[in-house]
Amino acid sequence: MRDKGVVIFVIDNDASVRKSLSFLLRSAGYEVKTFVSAEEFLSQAALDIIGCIILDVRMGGMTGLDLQVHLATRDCHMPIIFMTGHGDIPMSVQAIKKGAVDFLTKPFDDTQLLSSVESAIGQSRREKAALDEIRDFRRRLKTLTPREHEVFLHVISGLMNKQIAGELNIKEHTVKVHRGRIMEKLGVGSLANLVRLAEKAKISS
Amino acid sequence: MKYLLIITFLALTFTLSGTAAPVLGSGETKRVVVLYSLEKGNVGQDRMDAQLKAIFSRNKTFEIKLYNEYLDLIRFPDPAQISRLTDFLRRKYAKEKPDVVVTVLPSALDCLEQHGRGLFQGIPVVAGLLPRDRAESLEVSPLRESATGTIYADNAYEVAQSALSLRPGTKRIAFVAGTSPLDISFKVPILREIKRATEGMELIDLSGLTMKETLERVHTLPPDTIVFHTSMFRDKQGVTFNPPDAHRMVSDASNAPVFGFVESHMGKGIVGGRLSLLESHIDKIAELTLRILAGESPAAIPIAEESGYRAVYDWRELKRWRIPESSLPKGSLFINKDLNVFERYKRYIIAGVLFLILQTVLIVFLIQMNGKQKTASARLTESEERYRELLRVDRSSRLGELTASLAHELNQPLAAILSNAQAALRFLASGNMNPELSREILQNIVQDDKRAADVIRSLRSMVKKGEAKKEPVNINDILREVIAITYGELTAHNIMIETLLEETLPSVIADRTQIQQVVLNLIMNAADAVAQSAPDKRKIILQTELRDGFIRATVHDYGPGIQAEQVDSVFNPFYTTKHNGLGMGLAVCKSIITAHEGRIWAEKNPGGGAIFSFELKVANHER
Repeated sequence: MRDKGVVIFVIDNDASVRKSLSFLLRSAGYEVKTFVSAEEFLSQAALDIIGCIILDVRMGGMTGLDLQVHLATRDCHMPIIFMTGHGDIPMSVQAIKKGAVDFLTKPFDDTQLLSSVESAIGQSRREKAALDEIRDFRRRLKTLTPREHEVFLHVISGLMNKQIAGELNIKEHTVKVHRGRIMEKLGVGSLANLVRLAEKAKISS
Repeated sequence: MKYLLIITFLALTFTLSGTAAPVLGSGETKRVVVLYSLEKGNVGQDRMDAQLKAIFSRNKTFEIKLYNEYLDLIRFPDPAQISRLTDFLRRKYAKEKPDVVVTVLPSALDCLEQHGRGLFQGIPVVAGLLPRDRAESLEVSPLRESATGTIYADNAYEVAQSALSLRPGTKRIAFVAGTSPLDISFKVPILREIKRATEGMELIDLSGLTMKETLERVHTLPPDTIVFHTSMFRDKQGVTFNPPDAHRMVSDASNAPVFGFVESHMGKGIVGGRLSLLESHIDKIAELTLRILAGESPAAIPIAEESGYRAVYDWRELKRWRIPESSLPKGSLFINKDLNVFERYKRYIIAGVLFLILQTVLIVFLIQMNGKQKTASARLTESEERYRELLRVDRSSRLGELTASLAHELNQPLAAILSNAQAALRFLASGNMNPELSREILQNIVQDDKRAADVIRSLRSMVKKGEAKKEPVNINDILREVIAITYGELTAHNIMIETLLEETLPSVIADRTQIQQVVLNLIMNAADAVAQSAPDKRKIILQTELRDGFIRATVHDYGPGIQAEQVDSVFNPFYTTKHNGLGMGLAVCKSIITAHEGRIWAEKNPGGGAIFSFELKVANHER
């Protein structure tokens, strides 16, 4: 086994393809979970892990492209590798535009698949790290007092201590104390980092 | 039937000529035996035979039957052999006795006279072509009671005089003749006459030598010599010759002009003169024969003096020996005479004029073609558009869908097989393979492989399952439609398409679109096949014909052709010889034709290339 917790999801309505890909990925040391359809995948799989999804663009029910759109709305950071029977050019263009990492034409070589999988996992790991950071930030944000939250919003909107004091009708020194506590609670060392995280967490004043 | 008629006709003609013909004449049949001295096939004798037949057939008084005997006395002079020969002839004609015997040249007469012993005893003889001396001996022979004859080559004196007038400075005379009795019998009187004509000149007698010696001698003759050559049937060594050939050899070797005596030797290197004319002699012989047949006594008919001469010269020999035309007698004939410019170059002049005319026609034609080409290229663009449209239609048609889904259906198992196999390799490489795992992987591969095979197997039925719209269609119409569609494309690739369509074909019940698909596939395959051929082989022939209640359509191409072992496999799905081919075209064709209860097959074109044919049953035709 390579990395603990890394899972490759194979979604294909064709049992032969499912079985063979499962063998191939397992031979490379990955943990593999297979699903007959997109619906089955969505109802059973944990989406909040490091890994990637391999699926056929042509499937009954929810198609590969539908699933891609759906996952984007659910904060899933697992990249999708599409497979196709033979060159469905318009479909592949659409898929890549929406963030598919690769598009493999069957039959494909093992090295081709595994290098795609590897880069997809790298991407998944980076995205998960970024997402975890934001989640952590949001969680910390909730520990601020109402007054501290008020000061925080003014800080990220770019006001100076003196201006904030004027806005809130308090002493400048009091603003300084609040600001120190906010930085401490949110675990950030610099104003620049605070603004970046706030932006990523889609918090605006 | 035709042959039978001809055979019947021939048989009737035969019967008529065999039995009825004598009845048509006076009722009297006369037999004439001709004894030729030489072998069968001699040119002079053949001329004589043809001329005698012609003359005798014109005779209305009798039905004359001609019997030819070739005694071949030059090559077979042995008296014992001649005795056997005459014995044979005596027995042969013992019952069918001839009315007249004609001998040709003195040898045959000698044979009759010396060895005959009762051969043709008492039967009238016409002894043709005798030298003067032999004629005189006949005159005093007991045979003269029943024989007459003609004298031949009795012109030596005139020939010699005329030769001297052509070569006024002549001082020496060379004389060439062979060693056979026939050679000698002509040589003796001729040499006598020559001596008389060339009184006081030196005579170089080259007669009786071998051919080799003769040729050497005539090659090294002293200046101011002329050569007289009578005949050489045989030389000193016993080698026999055809006299005209001997003439040619002697003339070619000679350093002096050679003169001969008979017209039939002209063209073999003799200069010419007033020569004995064989045709006149034959006429004379025929005349004597008919007179005897009519009842005249041969003894009462004088031996005929020579009458037929012709003054004839060989132009080439005159030039060779620089003899001026002015020295020849007026009214002479020439052989090998040079023609004037037009006559000599007639063929070239005519060819040249024809060439100019052709060139003019060609120029006019090219100008017209240029105009036509412009309109044609406009039409080409138009039909190309039509073709593209067809391709679009085709792609969206059922065949297009079929191939797309087929590719997908085949890709699935193929992809699975590949992944399974590669997984197994990886497990092996990492040392994680176990029997359980390998069994499972191999089972997967087996299953996937069978699945791929199933896809291919089901292909034919896939076409069959399609809803065909069956209606009466005319195969010729379909061919013409497809030709119209493909014409532009084929023309653009310089491919000729020829049609041999049987008119007024009955209809077949078929799906028009599907049959079009078949024809289109066959034509495009043929076009691909001939695409790399030489320009004259870039040709497709379409043929239709009605055969025993089936309509057969055939596409011939002149491409690389098809091997005997391929004729069946070409119809298998995915069988292809093209780099970009799917190998589906002919498989689909076969499915369609089979679904129509027809037959499709391929064979080698004996003229190179391949022939693809299909047959469909005529509507309402029961077998």
